Amino acid sequence: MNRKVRILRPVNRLAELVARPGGLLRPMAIARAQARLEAQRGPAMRAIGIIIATLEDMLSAPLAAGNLRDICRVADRLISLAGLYGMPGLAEGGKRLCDLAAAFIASGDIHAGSLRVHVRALRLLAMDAPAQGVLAELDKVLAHFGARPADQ
Amino acid sequence: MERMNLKEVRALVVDADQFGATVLVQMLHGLGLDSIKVEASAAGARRELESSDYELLICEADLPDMKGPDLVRWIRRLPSQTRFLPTLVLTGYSDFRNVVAFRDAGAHFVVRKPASPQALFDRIAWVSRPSRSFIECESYVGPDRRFRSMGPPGGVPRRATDLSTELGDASEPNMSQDEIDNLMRPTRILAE
Repeated sequence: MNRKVRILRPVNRLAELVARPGGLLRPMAIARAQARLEAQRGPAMRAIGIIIATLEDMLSAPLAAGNLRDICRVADRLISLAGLYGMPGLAEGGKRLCDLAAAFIASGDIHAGSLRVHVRALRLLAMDAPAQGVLAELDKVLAHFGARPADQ
Repeated sequence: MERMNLKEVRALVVDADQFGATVLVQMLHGLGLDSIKVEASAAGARRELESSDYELLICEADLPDMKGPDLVRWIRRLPSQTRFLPTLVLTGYSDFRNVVAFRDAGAHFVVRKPASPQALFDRIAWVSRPSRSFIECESYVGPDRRFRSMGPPGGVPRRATDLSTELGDASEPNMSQDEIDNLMRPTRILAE
């Protein structure tokens, strides 16, 4: 086995550029980025509606294991947007959908009805339904199927 | 880092989700980047990286034609200086299960989405650190991931050239208290 290891010190051009005079202080840069993010709020809310509709469409047809990965991929986009735009309840609902889909991928046993319940819950959470109660009910479904959060 | 000048930094964003890429680009513009190119696939990113110079890559973990880490692994094995490109991989919630695989591909940093403006600023500042070396070996090509010197891992024998951990007996007489006091005494140093 070749155990040769080379340790290199390449020129980091990014480091050279960011260190040049001028630029933005951290608070100012973040405030500017936040303002640009806020300018996208309208399109982002429409995108969230489209993502939930996409999930509903995906679950209206018979499911195969390959579809579950697609459901996670779409739910990931929802989690990101909900997180960026201050909708923690919706983001948590999206995470639970991913956790449930991952549990079904692992077990090979798909319960489409449970996934549909989660997507209906996302609709409620997007309409500002009280998140705590909705999420607690989803947790019961996750516990039933032994789903494990991806971040644990 | 409290201040960054990103005006002349050329960034390549690789994200198949058009709206997600739009939001990311807007945040990067806010942070001060002017030159941002977006590609929706790994194939497009590879073409760009072979034909143009970039200082920063921000890459989605899950691309339609290739996993993000595979793209990073391809970059790390390029013959050009592009193989050292500072690289942030953005992972979704479900992909975060595979964070070790992303790290082992040679990414500088794996950022879990949603990537807030604060997180983006801080991670770009992190990969802008000039002191980080690069490791090239058979199983890994990428930034040095060691940040602390913790000695050899448990169970690994010491090298033959290392000094013995046994101190042994003193070879000279102990110092007197006067000698110790003299060592500790404040001394005035006059500049010439």
